[in-house]
Amino acid sequence: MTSRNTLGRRSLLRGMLYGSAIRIGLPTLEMMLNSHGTALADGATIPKRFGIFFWGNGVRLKKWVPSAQGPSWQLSEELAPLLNVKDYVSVASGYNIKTGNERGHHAGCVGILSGAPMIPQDPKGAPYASTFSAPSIDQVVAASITDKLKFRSLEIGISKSVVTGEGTTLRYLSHNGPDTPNPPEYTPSALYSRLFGDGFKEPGQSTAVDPKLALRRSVLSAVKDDATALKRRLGVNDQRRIDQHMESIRALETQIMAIENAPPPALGCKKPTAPSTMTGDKYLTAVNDAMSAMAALALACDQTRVFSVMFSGSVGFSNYPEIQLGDHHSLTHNEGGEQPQVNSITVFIMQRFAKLLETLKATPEGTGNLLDSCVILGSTDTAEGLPHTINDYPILIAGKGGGTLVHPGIHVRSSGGNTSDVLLTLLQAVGLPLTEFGTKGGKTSTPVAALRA
Amino acid sequence: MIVRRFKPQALLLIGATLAGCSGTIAAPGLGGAPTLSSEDGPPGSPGVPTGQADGFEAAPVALRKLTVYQYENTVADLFGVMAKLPELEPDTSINGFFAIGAAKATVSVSAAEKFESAAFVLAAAALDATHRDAFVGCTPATAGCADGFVARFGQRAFRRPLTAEEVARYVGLASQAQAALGGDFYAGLSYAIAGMLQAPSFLFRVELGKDGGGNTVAYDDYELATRLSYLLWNTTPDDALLAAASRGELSKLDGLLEQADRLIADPRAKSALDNFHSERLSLEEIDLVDKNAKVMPDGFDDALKTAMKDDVLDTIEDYTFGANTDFRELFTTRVAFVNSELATLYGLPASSNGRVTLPADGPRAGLLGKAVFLATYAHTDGTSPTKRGKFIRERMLCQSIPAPPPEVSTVLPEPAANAPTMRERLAVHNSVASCAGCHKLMDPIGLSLENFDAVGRWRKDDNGHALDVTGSLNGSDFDGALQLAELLHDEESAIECVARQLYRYATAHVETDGEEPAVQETIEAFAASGYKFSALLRAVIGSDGFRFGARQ
Repeated sequence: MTSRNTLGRRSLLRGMLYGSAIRIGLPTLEMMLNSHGTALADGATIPKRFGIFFWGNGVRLKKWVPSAQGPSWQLSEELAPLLNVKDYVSVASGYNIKTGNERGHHAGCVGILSGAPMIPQDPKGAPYASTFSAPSIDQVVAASITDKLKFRSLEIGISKSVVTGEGTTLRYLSHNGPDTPNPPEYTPSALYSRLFGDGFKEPGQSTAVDPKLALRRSVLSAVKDDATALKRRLGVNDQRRIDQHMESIRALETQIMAIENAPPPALGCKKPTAPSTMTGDKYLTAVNDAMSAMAALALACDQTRVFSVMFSGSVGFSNYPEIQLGDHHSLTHNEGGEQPQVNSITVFIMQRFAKLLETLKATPEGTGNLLDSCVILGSTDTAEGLPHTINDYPILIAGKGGGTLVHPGIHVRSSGGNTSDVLLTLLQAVGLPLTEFGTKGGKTSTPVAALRA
Repeated sequence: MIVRRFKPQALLLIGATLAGCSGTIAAPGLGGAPTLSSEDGPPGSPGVPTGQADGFEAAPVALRKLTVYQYENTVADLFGVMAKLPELEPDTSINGFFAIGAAKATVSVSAAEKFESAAFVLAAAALDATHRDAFVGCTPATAGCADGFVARFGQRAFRRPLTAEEVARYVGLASQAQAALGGDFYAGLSYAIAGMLQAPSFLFRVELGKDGGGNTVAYDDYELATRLSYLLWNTTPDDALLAAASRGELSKLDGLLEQADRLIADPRAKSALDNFHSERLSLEEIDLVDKNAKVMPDGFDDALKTAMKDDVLDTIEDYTFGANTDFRELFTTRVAFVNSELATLYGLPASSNGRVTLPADGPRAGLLGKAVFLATYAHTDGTSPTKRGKFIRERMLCQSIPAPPPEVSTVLPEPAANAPTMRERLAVHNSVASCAGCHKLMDPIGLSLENFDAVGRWRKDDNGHALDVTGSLNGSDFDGALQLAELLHDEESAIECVARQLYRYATAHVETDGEEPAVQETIEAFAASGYKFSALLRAVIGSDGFRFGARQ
C-alpha cells in the first residue's frame, strides 16, 4: 500500500508490456490478481482510497435518520437516493460534535472535518471570519498515503454559491491547517486538463522522458533556495507560511517525477472524453456527473488516492434550478413547518452523492470495483440548518475500505458519542496507524467497533 | 462606463510604452544594476525616519502574498506583452479585505501549479522573436548579457536590487537550461524568468525592515515604495519609485508623501481605489445574488449588476477626484451613474446615461439609496431589513454584530392580517430576549429602508399596506431613508469607519489597540481637511502604522 508498492507495480506492468512478457500478450486482470481480488500477483495490494462528500446547511433529521438500527436498517426519505449502493453505505447517527458551537455552521464544519475546534478571527469592529485549527482529515490521510503519487489529493467543488467573505472555513473544505486551504476546482474541463492533459500517459504510450521536465525541477530547486535564504530572516509565523509554500513546491516536484518515472498502470485506467466548460449552479447534475467520472478514473489510474467533493459550501446559498429551489441557506431559515423545500434539496444532494458512489462501483478493479477499496465520509456543516445544531450529526460512511469496513452497511446509533469516534474509525480503516484523533473536546481514542468489518 | 481592473483579466493587453518593453528595466539613476553581497540583504537608506507618536505600538510584520489583481497588474507591468494566463487561485477575504487574507495566505499545491504555468507562459511571450530584443536589452553575443538581464529584471520582480547570490542562482538556471536545450540562449533565459516568478521573493511582498528601536522595525525605502505602489496603483513600483527608493527618499516623510501625491494624481489610482471601496462595501457580493420572478420577471442579469456596482464606484470617484470633496456627502448625495436599465429602476427616463442628478425632492439619495446595496442585502423574493441593518452596522459604522445563538428558530411569522409588513413580522425578534439585543441594532435602521424593494426600486407601500419607516440611530429619531442618511452624514463613527477601513486595507491587518494613536491621527487629519479622501490617503500613508512594524 505504500508508494514503493505502487512504483513496483508500475514497473511490473511496464516490464510486462515492453519486456519479455510481451510474448504471452497483454496480461489479463485475473492473471495479476490473487484469488481474493485484493492483491496483485506480485503481492502488491490494491491501494485504499479516501474521500469526502460534503454539503452545506445540514438535513431534516426527522427525514434523515433511519428508524431501524443495525444491519436491518432501511433507507429514510432523505437517504432513499442511495438505493443502488445501500450495501456500501453505513449511517452513523446520534453522535455530537464535541468542539463547541461557538458560531453556527463554522463550528460544525471544522469539527466534522478535522475533529478540532475552529479558530475565530473577529477583531472588534471588523467583519467576522474563522479558519481551521487543524488539517482536515483528507489531508491527514494524504500526508500518510499519497507520497510519490502524482497528486497528493484532489479537491472538487460543484456549487459555486459559497460564502467568500468569512475566512477559509465556509469557503473551502480541504485545509492543511489555519489559513492554508486547498481550494477546489469547480470546472470539469479544468480538472480534466489537470488530470488528463499534458503529462498524462495512457498505458502503452511512449515512455521517452522530455528533458524539459528535469529543467522544471531545477527551477523548483532554485525556488526552494530562494525560500531557504528568505526564511532565515523571517519571524516564526512567516517561516511557517514559507514552509507551506515549499511543501507545495515539493508536491509539484513529485508531480513532475511521476510523469518522468512511469506511465500509469493498466488496470481500469483510461482517458475520459473531455467534458464541456459547464460550471456552477445551473448545471449541478451535469457537473457532478463529470466530476464523479473523473474522480473515479483518477483513482483507477492511481494519480491520487485522496479526494474531496464540496458539493456545496458551509452556509452555501446554492440555487437548484433543476428543482426550482434556492437559495438553500435562506430557505433553511425562512421556510416554516416541516420545511418540505429544504427536504427536497437534501434529497437532490443525496442523488448526487449516490451518483458518485455508483460511478465508483461501476469502475471495475481486480475482481471487484473501486468502491471496494474506498473509505468515504459524507457529512455537512450542521445537523439541522434552521437551529444550527451540532448534536445528532448526519454522517454517512461509504465503501468497503479494502475489507476493513462493515459490509453490507449498517445504521449505528449512538447516544451522544463523539463524532471524532467515527473519524478515527475511518482513518484506521484506510490504514493510518492512529490510536487517537482530534483535539480539545474533539479528541478521542474510541473508534466505532460496529463500523468495522 | 469605465473599464475596471479588478476583474481578473486572462488576457493582458498592454501598450508598448512600458519600461519593461524598452530594455531599460533598471531604474534611472541606479547606474546599472547594483548587486550586494549576500550578507548585506536588500539595501535601505541610512538613518531611521521620524520617530513614532507617543503611545504608538507597532503591529507585527507579515508577508503579503500578491493578490490575483496585483499579480496580473504586476506581470503586465513587468512584461508588457500579451499572454493568456491560466486562471489563478482566488484570494481569501478576511475581516473584509483580501489584503488581510493575503497577510495570512500561503501557496497551495494547485496555486503553485498555476503560478508555474503562468511563469512559463509569460516568459515565452516576453522572449518570442518579436519582443525579446527590447525585453532583454542585450544580445546573446554581448558579454554578461544574462547577468545584466537577471539583475535588471530581478530588481523589478523582487522590488529591490538582487544580491550577488541571487543573480548567480538565476543565471545558473539560464546556463543549465541553455546547455540542455541545444544552446538556445533565450530558451535558457526563460527558465531564469520562470524561477524568479515562482520565488517567494516575488510572490510575497517581503518586509524585513531595519531597526526602528526596541522590537520595532522601520520599513526600508524599497519596502515603502512597494507599500505605496500596491496601495495606490495595485501594482509593482515603477522606475521612478524604485529610483526614489534607491536615493533613500521614501524613508523621509516628505519624500514619501511627495511620491504619494504623484501616484494619487495618476489615473491608475482610480482603479486601485475602486478596488478598496469595492472591498469595503462588499460590492462583489451582488455577483452571486439571484432574484425570483416575482421580483425580477425578466431575470437579474449581469449587465444590471455591473451597472449597480459602477454606480457606487463612479459616485465615490466623483467625491474623490471630482469637484465634490466632502466624503460625508456620500450619504446624502443626489449624484448617480446609470445606464438605461438602472435609470428605469431608479424611476428616471430610460434615456438617461452616465452621470445624473437625482431629483432633489425625490426619495432616493446617497449610498443607502444605491441599488447594489439594497438588492444584495435582501432575499430572493423580498426585502430583509435585518440584512440591510447588519450591513450598515458592519460596513458603514465598523460595528460587529454577533451571530444568532444556536438552537434559535429564525423563521419569521408569515404575513398576516395583523402582521402585514416586515415591521410587524420582525417584532418577534423583540419578544425573545436572546434575539432582541442584537436585532435592536439592525432591524430599526433596516426597516427605515422598506420603501425600497428587494432589488432597490422605490415603493410607496408594501402590497397596499402602509409602511412605517421611523426609527432611531444612537438615540436620534428619524423618519425614513433620507433622514437616516442625514444622521449618518453627521455620525462620527461613520466617517471614522472609512478611515479605519483604509488603515486596515493599507496595513493588511485590523488595527491593534497599540496602533490606536496612529488611527486617531488619521481620523483627525481627515476631519481637518474637511473630509477630503485624498487627505485621508496621505494621513494613512504618513502614519506610523504604514511605516513601522514589530518583529513577529
